[in-house]
Amino acid sequence: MREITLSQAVNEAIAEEMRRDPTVFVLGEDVAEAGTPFKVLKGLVEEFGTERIVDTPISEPGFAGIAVGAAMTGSRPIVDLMFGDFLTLVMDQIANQAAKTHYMSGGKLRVPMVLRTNMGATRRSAAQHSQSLHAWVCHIPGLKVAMPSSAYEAKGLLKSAIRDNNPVIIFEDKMMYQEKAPVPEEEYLIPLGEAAVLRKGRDITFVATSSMVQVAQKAAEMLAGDGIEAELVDPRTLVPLDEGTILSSVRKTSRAIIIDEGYQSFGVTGEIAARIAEKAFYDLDAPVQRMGAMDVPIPFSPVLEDLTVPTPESVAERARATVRGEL
Amino acid sequence: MAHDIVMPMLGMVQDTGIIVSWHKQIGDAVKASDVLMEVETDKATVEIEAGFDGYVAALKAETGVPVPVGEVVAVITADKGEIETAPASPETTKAEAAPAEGAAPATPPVEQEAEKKTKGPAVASALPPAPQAHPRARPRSGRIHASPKARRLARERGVDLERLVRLGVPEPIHVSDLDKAGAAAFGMPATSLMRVTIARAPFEAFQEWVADEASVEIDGTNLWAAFAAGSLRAATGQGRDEEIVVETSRFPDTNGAVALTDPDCAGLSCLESGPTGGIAALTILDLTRSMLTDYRPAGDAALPHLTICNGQDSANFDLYLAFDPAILAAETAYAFLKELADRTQVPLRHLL
Amino acid sequence: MTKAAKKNTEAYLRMYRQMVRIRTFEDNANQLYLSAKMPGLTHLYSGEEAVAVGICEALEPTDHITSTHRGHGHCIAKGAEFKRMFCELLGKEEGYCRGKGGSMHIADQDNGNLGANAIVGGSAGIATGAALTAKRRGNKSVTVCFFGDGALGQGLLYEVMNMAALWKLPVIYACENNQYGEYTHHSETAAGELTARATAFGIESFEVDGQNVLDVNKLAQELVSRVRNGEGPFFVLLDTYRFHGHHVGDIDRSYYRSKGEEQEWREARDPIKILGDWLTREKIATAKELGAIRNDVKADAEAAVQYALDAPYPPLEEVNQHVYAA
Repeated sequence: MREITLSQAVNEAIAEEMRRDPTVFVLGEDVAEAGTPFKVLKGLVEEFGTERIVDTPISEPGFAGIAVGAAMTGSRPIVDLMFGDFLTLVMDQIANQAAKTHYMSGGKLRVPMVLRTNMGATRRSAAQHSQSLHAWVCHIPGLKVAMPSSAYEAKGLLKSAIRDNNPVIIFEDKMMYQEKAPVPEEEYLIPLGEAAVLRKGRDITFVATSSMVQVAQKAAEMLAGDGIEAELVDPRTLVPLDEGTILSSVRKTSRAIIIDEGYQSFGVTGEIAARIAEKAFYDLDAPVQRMGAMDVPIPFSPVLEDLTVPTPESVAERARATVRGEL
Repeated sequence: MAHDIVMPMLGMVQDTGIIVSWHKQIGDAVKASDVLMEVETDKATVEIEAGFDGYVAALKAETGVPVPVGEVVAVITADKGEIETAPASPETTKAEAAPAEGAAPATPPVEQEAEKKTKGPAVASALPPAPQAHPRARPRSGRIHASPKARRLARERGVDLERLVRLGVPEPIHVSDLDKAGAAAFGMPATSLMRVTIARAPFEAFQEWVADEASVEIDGTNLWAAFAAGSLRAATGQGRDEEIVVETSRFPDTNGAVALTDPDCAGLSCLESGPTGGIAALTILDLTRSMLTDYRPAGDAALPHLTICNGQDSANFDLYLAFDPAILAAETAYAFLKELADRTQVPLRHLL
Repeated sequence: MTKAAKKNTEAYLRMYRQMVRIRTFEDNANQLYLSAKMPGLTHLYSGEEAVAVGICEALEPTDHITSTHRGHGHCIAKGAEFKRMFCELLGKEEGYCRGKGGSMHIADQDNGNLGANAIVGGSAGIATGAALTAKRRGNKSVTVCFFGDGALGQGLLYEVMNMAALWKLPVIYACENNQYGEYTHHSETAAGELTARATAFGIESFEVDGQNVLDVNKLAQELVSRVRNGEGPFFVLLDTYRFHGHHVGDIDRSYYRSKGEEQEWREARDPIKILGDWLTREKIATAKELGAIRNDVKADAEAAVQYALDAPYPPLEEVNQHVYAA
């Protein structure tokens, strides 16, 4: 099977959906000729023109709000939010407008829009360009949140998101844009709300999101050398969350570590850990572990920045301690 | 004025360095150009100069242990007098990644100058630290720590978790511990039974003697508890500082179990029951006020369990001791009963 | 009467009726609040009727509007009917939003009302986005974004006006300056000239007396036609006044608005009276005819209020429905 980068996978997904449905269009900063600073949208303006690949001023609330209105009136906009940290700027339009319109109108108005943004530290981009804030939008009823962990997921999830009739926020890990993965040539979609078991094991379950999937994979390989077999579950979407797959896995292994790049406190790891504790309590042989980003503004200095996120070593160490009953 | 010396960044790929050896000791005078330590990186071993004139106030890293780059490994003070304020012994620093204890190495209490380039705060552990390990002594409250799954399986298999704890299984109990406990894990009873008959006259005479001498009526059951505690202490070799709790009940007059703590240590006239947090070392069922010559109530009496009955021969008491040989060796059980018999025959022995 | 004149008469009377409908609706809403029959609060549009009616009468049902927290007037002017509106205010199932939006989020999609919005300026993006869709589709529909003088403090408004101007979107930004943003006069919250804000983006701006429905309508017709022609966006500043407080509970308000000022506007600048007087003066309608319209609307409203009071609440299962669209 051919291998393409995450960036190419996103590009293909958008191009295919735009060919399929003329109401789909893209708006954001530097999306047209520049193809975004990450070059993900390179080439699209040549095929679809500036009417459908729309460069905006630096007005995040503005173009997010415009996307909401366009979606409410029959378009399917894809907003490109250059950095996930800018979620702060669009929160009113996303959380107060997009998320609630269908409900507040008693089911009459729909907001079929996608907001694509990124997450992930260790790029030396410092505190305001390195955050993983997906937990914020998971918290708002009415939104859906997808977390592709490789090029394969990126394409399949984005296509589903574009076809979904709800506001969907997709977070791409900015460190992964050049990473390749096998991606079929034939069309495929990954439904929102379906987790994937990427590695089977019997001793401990890793629930990992986005680039933490690769971290967990490496940790699992290290642990195999110690005779510990880890099972790896990638939720792929956080809202809706495929609880069933996660719980089945934990019931089998009786131990779990949730690994996510959002801040450790009050985030995704806590939510998933709580659901496991609620629903698989009597199958737990060890306390559920959480590994998120350190609760500090992300430092610039590389030696400090690299300490703030889970690594294969730290995950493996935590797993060993868990399996040995030390925690 | 004190200066922190940190593990230096020596290579492109390096995260940690290992101190091969210290060239200076605490208290040594040092010049900036003196070699303070040798550091091994992934490429080579490098001599690191002190960088400051002064005295070595603290060495904060052990040799041979990987230390993260940027972590404080030594402190040099300008003044010899400041050495006292710095910690004298090297603390173990930890490698990168989450340590099981979860604490970051403490920063030295000496003042840190803001403008020193080599100063760095002690590097916090890599991630939010792992939760504390739980090595626990046996709980006094009787609550046993076990994982939810272990608890569920124990219930399903009829395993007594308390028994596992007595067997020495450390808490918190995990599923794998249920397997380790062997037969005990499958709830199979393993009770041994010993019986002894003793004359009752000396015991009753003693009771009367104390009543006369001290003008105090001693409850018979409490007296048994006192003798039993003392006998158990002697048989197991426990000291008077170790607590022995005896739980007594009587039939009839089932007001419920009464717990006495160290009834052999207080004066006989002040045997009082009280609340106790401890698990009973011995339970006693006193049937002497009844007509019964034997009675084993259904249910799980905590072991070891002593039943005191009126003997089939009215001049005697019959004593039955039920015990778990995995917890109380047969020899010890016999020693206990022998000591108990001796004390009730010659009660003054107990008072000595 | 000529055909044209007759057509005009119909239009004038329709405008009169619509303004009366708004006023009557608001009077009833006020009573529902004061008699503790209405949950929550509401924000009354009384006094501003000419703005909503003058503009909406120039629009088709396929044109869109977005509204504000003070949205009953726009909703009625765009074609909504009493029963379903009262039901929505009371949280009943038959409301326009099945009782789930309430006064501040009332929306009437079939008539092109994309919704009232509780966030000040919050619908500016939505209106501009609707205009973007219209432009992309080339369907010549117009979007009117209603907002108040208070919204001139919101950055979002300037962001979207900038983009609307850059992309020549078919949208009219209608600023209803009722003099006060909540409890503060606009002179204390909006620096400089109000229309200069839009002209700074190269957007042609107009100012009109918001109490004169004919003036408003004339301007609206002109601008709507130009917008359909691709000449948008436009900015209109309408001077108006709300007779009641900021919300129904804002009763003791002399600390920010003098009774004298209120009285002056009510007596001399009531849009319904102004049109009524003009109609009778121009002999287009008699006082009796106008009175009949008012009575008719009054009866209509009373029946609708009773209907809504008797109407059922949504079933409880509704609480977690419509979070997501299928």
